[in-house]
Amino acid sequence: MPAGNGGLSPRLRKVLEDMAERIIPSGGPDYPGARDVHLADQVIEMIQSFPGAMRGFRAALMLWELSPLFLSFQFRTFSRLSPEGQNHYLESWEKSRFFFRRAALTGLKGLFMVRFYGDARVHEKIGYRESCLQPLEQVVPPWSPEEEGR
Amino acid sequence: MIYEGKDFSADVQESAEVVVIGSGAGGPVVAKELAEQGHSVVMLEEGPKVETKDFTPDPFRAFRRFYRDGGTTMALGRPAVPFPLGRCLGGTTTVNSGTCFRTPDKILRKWRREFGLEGIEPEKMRPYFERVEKIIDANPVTPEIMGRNGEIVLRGAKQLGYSSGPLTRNTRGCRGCGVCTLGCPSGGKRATFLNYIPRASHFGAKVYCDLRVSKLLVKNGAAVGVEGAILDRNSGKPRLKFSVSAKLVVLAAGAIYSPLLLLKNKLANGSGQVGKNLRLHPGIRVCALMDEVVDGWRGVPQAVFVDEFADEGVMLEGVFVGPVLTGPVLPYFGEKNKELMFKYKNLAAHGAMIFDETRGRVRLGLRGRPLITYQMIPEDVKKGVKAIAYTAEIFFAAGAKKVYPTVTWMPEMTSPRQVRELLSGRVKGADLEFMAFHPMGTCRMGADRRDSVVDPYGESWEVKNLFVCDASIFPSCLGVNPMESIMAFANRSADYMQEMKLKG
Repeated sequence: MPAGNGGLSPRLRKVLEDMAERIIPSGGPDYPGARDVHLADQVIEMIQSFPGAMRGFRAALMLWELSPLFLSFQFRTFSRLSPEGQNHYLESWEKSRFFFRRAALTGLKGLFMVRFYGDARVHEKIGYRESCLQPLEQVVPPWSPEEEGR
Repeated sequence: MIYEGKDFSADVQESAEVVVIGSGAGGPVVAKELAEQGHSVVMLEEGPKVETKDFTPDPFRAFRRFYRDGGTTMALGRPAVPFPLGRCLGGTTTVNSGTCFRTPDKILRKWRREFGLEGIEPEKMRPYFERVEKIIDANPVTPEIMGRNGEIVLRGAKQLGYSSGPLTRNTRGCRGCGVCTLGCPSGGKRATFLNYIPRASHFGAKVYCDLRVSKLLVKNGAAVGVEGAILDRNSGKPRLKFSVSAKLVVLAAGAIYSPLLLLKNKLANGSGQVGKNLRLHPGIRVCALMDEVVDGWRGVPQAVFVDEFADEGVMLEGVFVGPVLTGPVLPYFGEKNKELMFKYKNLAAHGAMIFDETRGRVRLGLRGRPLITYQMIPEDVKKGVKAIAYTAEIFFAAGAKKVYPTVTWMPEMTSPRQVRELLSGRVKGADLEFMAFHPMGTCRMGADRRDSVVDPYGESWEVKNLFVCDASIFPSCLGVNPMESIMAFANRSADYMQEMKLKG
């Protein structure tokens, strides 16, 4: 998949990629992560499929980028934090005493995981294979008038 | 005949004896029963027409196409409670787990005792349940399609001596594909678009999809029809106008959109109860890491129940979902979460719902959208904690190595001792993650017009010939999945309409 910017500035693109990498880190051939499946591109593609949603998404990314300045007093934006710093920052959301920060992190996880764990390459690695317990030979049809006599 | 929005290039005016708004559990029952009696019926659905071939196991696509707002409906409060709603032909019956329960006798007696509802005694409701069960093919889950996830829960419950068993579902030829909530790809789960709607259509009912009702027409204190718009399927924007004049108007848009329509039209709210008394059956979810391979996605996702704790207001019913929906609800992020997800084959999951006493509310929000609030009371939070504890206990009894209870300060449990810690700990609502699937109660029925919206047959106290036939009429939570109750009460209302409004 081409790694375009999807209408994001290089800075916002980096914010998105860093978030993806912190939530689903890459590492090793047996454990693919965000980078291995071009997760940032997949998320952009997903957002673009909702008409008009990209604008709000850009604003949300910018808000996230700036949020460490006033939520953790680190005096650095998210993309300028080290990977460890970014992890600590995400942890502060995960363990926050404020419900909405914790809920927001769950939402963020969902945003990235809906694409990552929907990817066939990841399915293969986690052993998930969509299949029915009984063979699906033919579809059961809707009710028809002939059925009344069955 | 089933029409779609794209079939029309000009405004549409219809006339029928009965117009039904909504094609979920309630509307199609009324449509079928009255059409079968020879009455002209028009049924309107806001979502798209669906057929079995439309369903794929891609959750993103399914949520976008078949759920309202992509499945993001949420009740605001601490905690906020998401509750996805279906929005397609068949409504939520198309994307639910298919669990069937009759309204418990003690609930029917409670409604009689506390709300003065006559004629709903268990023996009087029995024929309706039997009729519905025959049409929707209600059958217990068999061992062949149960899957290991259900087997593990039953094993744990049996070990502890808890009352449990396979659930009854509306199925015929279910293959255990595990994706009920994305739309059944085998046609085995018998949503209303596979039974009631084809029957209604066969008896002459006209079904319109992609159509949003905005106005309920009332003349001299009686409902006389509806107006709305035919929507563009892709943009969701109104494209053409639509109106139906009718003798009877049946509102079956569910416990959020039925009261919303009444509030928008400033109708039927002399009691002040429209939109109030929202119950949700909030549910929790617990995952467990097993030594054995579970492959939990194979088999019926919601296959078994444990009703040992019903008297405490807790009913255990499980749902195993695909990896897309499992990842975000497991604890942690980064390596720890990923490590867990890479053991997905060994994960089991089960859930529970609580019999809520909390009363939420549906209000008219910005741009005509619903504003839903639900501030959970401490008694219900306690039930949620018990639900988690009992589920965790069952998993440990079944041999779980670790249990993930979705409690903020206890991301994982490694021994049953922690179950007791959880029960004795101080847990706030905001510490838990709830989800819900059964909104009800927002147009409650009753014998007293001063504190109810509709009478015991679902007819508005104030607007003649306006009926409500969905979960919003239930005056309290049911304690069981509501689909069959909605259908049985809709059938009862249809009989009343036939006898009292349409005969002769």
